Amino acid sequence: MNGVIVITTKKGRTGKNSIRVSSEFTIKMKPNYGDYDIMNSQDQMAMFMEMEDKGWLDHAGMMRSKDAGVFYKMYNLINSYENGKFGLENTPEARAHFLRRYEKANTDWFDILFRNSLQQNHSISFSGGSEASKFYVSTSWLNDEGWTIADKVDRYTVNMRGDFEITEKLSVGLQTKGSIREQKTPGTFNRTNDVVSGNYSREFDINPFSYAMNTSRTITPYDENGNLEYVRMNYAPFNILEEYDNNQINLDVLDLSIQGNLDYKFNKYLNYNFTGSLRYVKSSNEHLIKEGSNVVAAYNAGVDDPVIADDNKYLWKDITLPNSRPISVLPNGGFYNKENNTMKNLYFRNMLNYNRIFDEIHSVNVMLGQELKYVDRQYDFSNGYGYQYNKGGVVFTDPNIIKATNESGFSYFGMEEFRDRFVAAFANAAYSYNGKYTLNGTVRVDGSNRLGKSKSARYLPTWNLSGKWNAKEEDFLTDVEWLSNLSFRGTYGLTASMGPANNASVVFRNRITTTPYDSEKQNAMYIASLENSELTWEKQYETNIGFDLGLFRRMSLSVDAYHRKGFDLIAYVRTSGVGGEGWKFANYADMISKGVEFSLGTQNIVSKDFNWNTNLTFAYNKNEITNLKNSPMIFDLVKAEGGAFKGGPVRGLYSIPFAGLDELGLPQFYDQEGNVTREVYFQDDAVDHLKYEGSIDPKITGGLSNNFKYKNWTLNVFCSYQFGNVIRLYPSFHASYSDMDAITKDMKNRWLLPGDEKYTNIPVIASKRLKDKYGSELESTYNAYNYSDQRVAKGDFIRLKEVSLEYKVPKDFLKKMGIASASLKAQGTNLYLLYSDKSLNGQDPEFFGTGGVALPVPKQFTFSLKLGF
Amino acid sequence: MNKKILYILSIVVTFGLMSCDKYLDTTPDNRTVLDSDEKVKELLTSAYPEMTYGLFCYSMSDNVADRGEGNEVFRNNEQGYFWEEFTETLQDSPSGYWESCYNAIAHANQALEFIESTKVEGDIPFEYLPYYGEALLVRAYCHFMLVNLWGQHYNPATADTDLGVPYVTEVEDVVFKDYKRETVAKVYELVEKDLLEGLKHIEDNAYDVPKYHFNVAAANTFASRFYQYKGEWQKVKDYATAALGAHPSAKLRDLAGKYNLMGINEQAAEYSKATEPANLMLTSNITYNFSLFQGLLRYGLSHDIFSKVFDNVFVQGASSNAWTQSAVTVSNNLVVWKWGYFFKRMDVNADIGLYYAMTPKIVAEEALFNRIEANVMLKKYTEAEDDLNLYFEKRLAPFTDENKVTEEKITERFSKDSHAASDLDPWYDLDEKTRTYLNCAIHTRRREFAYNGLRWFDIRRFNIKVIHEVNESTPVVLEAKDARKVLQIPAMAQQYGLEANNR
Repeated sequence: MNGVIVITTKKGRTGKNSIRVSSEFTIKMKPNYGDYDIMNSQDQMAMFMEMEDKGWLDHAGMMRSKDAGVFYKMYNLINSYENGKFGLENTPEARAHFLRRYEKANTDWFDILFRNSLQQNHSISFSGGSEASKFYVSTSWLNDEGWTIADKVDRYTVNMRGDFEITEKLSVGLQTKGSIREQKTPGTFNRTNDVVSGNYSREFDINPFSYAMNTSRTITPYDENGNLEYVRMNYAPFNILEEYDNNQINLDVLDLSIQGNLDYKFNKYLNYNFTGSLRYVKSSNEHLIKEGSNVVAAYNAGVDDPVIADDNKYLWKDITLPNSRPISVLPNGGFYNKENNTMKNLYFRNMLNYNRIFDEIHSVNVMLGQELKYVDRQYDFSNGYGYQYNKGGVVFTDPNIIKATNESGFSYFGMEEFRDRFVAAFANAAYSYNGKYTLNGTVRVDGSNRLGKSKSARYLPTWNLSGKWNAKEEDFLTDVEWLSNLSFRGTYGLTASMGPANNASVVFRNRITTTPYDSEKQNAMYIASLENSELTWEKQYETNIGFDLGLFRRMSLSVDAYHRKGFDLIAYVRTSGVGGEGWKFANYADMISKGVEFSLGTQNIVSKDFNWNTNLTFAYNKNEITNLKNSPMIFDLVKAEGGAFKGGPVRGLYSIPFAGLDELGLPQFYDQEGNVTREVYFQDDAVDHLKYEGSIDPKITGGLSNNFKYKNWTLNVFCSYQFGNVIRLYPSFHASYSDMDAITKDMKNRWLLPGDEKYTNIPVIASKRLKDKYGSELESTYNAYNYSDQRVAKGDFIRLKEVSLEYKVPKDFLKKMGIASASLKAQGTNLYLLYSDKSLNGQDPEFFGTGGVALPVPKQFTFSLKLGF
Repeated sequence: MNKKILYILSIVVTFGLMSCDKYLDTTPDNRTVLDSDEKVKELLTSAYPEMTYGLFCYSMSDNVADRGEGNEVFRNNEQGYFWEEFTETLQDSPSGYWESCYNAIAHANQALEFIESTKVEGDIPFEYLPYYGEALLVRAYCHFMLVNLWGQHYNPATADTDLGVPYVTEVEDVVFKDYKRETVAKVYELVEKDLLEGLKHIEDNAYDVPKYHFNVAAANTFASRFYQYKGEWQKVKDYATAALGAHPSAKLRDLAGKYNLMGINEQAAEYSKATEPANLMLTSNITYNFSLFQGLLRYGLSHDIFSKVFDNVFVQGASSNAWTQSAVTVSNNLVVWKWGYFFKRMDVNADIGLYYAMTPKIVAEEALFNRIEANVMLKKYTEAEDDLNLYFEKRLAPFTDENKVTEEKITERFSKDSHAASDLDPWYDLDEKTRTYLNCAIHTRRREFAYNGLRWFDIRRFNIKVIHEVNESTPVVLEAKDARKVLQIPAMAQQYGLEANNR
């Protein structure tokens, strides 16, 4: 688990110099509303009307709200008075007319924010050399004009490698790899971890996919005259298209690695090998937030509007002047924020290898080695305030923004360092008798600085034993025609890895105390983690047995079964709190994981011109936490990522048991005593009554591929599947809704009239009166519905993952043109979902969790051309 | 050849193993090490609980009433009002305060462990002494707060058997350590030991911002509180006098003067500033316990309680002579305006964050009231009257001779009347005059500490009965000697073997 992967790439070949050229064109298809669970604008407007009837979306409330859509626009027009006329007359007819346009809008956000984009990747490589020296050089260029309207990527790579035999005993190799990536993305801030609710939130999120997924289809990007149309976000005007022009990130990444290796043959049997590499990565991230952006507008919203001034958290009040009004700390210009990440990685490995065969039957291999890893990482950032993009880049900073930043305990620049040191020594011995019986044993010791300065937990020895019996080589089987291969193998060993704890000795960190006045602030040091003298690595005993079977030279079967007993696993455990730390990372969990992996390949038709091969893979895994000293709260277990609970899987999903709707259409639940209640307290640690839904991770995964070859044509059809996992549906139900958010189609079947509770489980849209009566408790009732057994779907699917067709141009034809090889290939990826759970309303279970800054993997078509000279 | 290789190899291995350890000594990130008196000072700056008892103690006390539906329902407030088991674990919950106190104690112990290692020939170097004193006071104070919330109030007759809390004096270096509850008597004994030893070394100029640390005045006030709970009145008086100094009046919060000229925003700001002389010790707390939120809570100050507590015999009725503290209406609810809040964003651009309040934890008025009570118990009634006058001078405007405290006035108003749901019933005996004066002292004190939770501790030590009216329902009652006056040990601590309190 701590092994380091040394990159082995293409080496040059002896003989004629060769040139390879390849070009690849990929078209990514826009997402489609058919694949997502989002209500259309007609249904949503009907819902708005019901909300209005129930006291929501009222004039005063909408003018005060932080984020608002169509209704806010309507009231804003009613409020505006110009040239002796109101922007909109406050009559039911005028209002209905105004809303009709948005009811019919049915905005296709995917169409607006995405494009059927083209990505191209071109590469050329040269290789050649002689017996004594070989070389390989390649370069490539990738260009992606962007699947969304706000993305763009260019990447250039170079790779050079030379291998030289200096003497018969000594050979060396040198390799340099480098890449440069230039990328443009929509502007995003880091997510904020809300320690109270345990959720993450991201301010000013303009990720195109999240925006399309979360924005109501009643909102329109353009008005009737084709001008940009605005809604309200953070008390300021917002239009997504304009935001992409004014809020963006430029990301540049430089990645360079140099690797060298040296081999020395002492004699026929003994061989020394050295590998060393240096990798240097620098990425810089430039976030430009211009004057016209919603972010800048939010920092200025409400300066002259007392209705929102007190609520807008981006305004600032000088605490030394208690009676002052909130003011803007960004009156001029926008932000110019930079982040840099650098990494320097050094790696060395020395190995001695002894290999000898005695009497032609006893084969012995002994290996001794040592490796060392050194990684230094640095992260720094600096935020520039008041950069005037529209005034020639002159900086005009209001010092209050620095004051405001300091007050909350943040800084406008900063730097952090991380150092990773790692050493290992290992020895391996293998013996094989006549190629029939093989025994192999490995011992290694790893050491790391990650656990802290204490020496007790620093090193960890591990070992591994394995054996193989090649039965086909036995005398009684060598002559069996139909049996082309039979062998058995098994391994048993201890592996270890480092968990997320680093407190083998006490960890102190620094901070500045939280007080409003600078004169009362102090430097402080605090205990980030108490010492854990018992801290050790996470460990696992793994047993693996398997066999390979080949029949009639047409069919091959490979089966592996494994049993992994994990112990000393790091868990976040609750303590009595008396020692000073209520939660600790500690080696206090055990887990058993077992499974079978199975792969069957058949050659169904073998002939001169036509071949048909099938390959089926199947994997089954089940894990169970056998020991865990934690006491999770309801929220820990019902959340979409699942939670760990003794006796359950690592990431199990649990639900609050739903008890039907009451006579008002409000959801009800069973509590731990079996009583029906509307009150669910997410921080409660009484969790025995929760319903176990299943694991977040699939139990069964696999694929089926069929490969057809006719002369120069190759067709490959690949389906993938997974079964046995569950998905928590989006938390779509709330005590109140805005006129901005996209809503699930399930909302169409909601409770409308008394009696409906017999036919539907979708709760009512709560009236304002009800909300006022129950206050914030009503929201937790609705949220409990989001986390109830009603809002779970199966994650099973079968997908047509890939179809590809390749044509190899006949050699005879190419020879005339001086070309050595040429092929054309067309490939479609993520083509069709053959089966999934109906309660997903068409959504793709494989990409269910995507959002934030990530994008789902689209349906795409690739055409490629490869030429060799 | 092979011998040569073995030779080289063995050198490499020996050398490698020696340098390995050094190589792995590199710290993985920007963590700091504790290695100087300055670092000890900084470590102890974090040794003050970030959570606070104010809101749940206030909710359980007789200063609150049900203000009805439509107000903010806040679990710690509601569960406190009904003396139910608290289920929250974060800010303003007992469980949060429990953890926060023990966290502060862990910081103190870590500092003490290091200070111990700096000893030269058995003596602590002088530059460490003030922090040695501070660490001991932190440890004493936190355990004292814990034992007075989770244990019975000190009573010499039963303290040897009443269960207190674990007294932690060592750094925890294993994942789960076994702790056991000491008796109340034992906790008091250890608190006293740490307190007296620490008090010797406290020095105000050792701190950057003394008001956020145990300074001399705060430490003395805490000592007077400790002996007050133990009933050693001369000591109460001495420590309170040490805290107040020669001119107590200058240390009291000047509501009748300075504050009276300010608007409410300025008052709220002034209330928790380090420059306010009355604030002897402040702590930065994550809490909703600040004036604005006190106005939104469902269970809070009612007009009834306001007139009962703030209507006063020493106010001579005329509107020109009034209690000077502002009472403000927040969404139809009355609030006696005290301290404000500070909103700390979660992230530079976040609009979510935490509410903080710089809570005055130890104030000069407490020292004064402790001295008043001690003088009453020592039967030095004139001295008690003098201190009461000092207090009222800063609370009433105008304040003339007519407003002064007299035995007659006290007797008229407080004879046989505690102005609470039951008579004061401490473990020591009271004669009639003492009782009358004590009624006056404790009732006046109740008003001063209306929101900061101290009333709850008075309810415990005088065995006062509490009745909470409930809107459209029957009242709930906490009897004079009710098991619920002792908080239940947090669930997790019970799981790890701490004995639960009786219910």
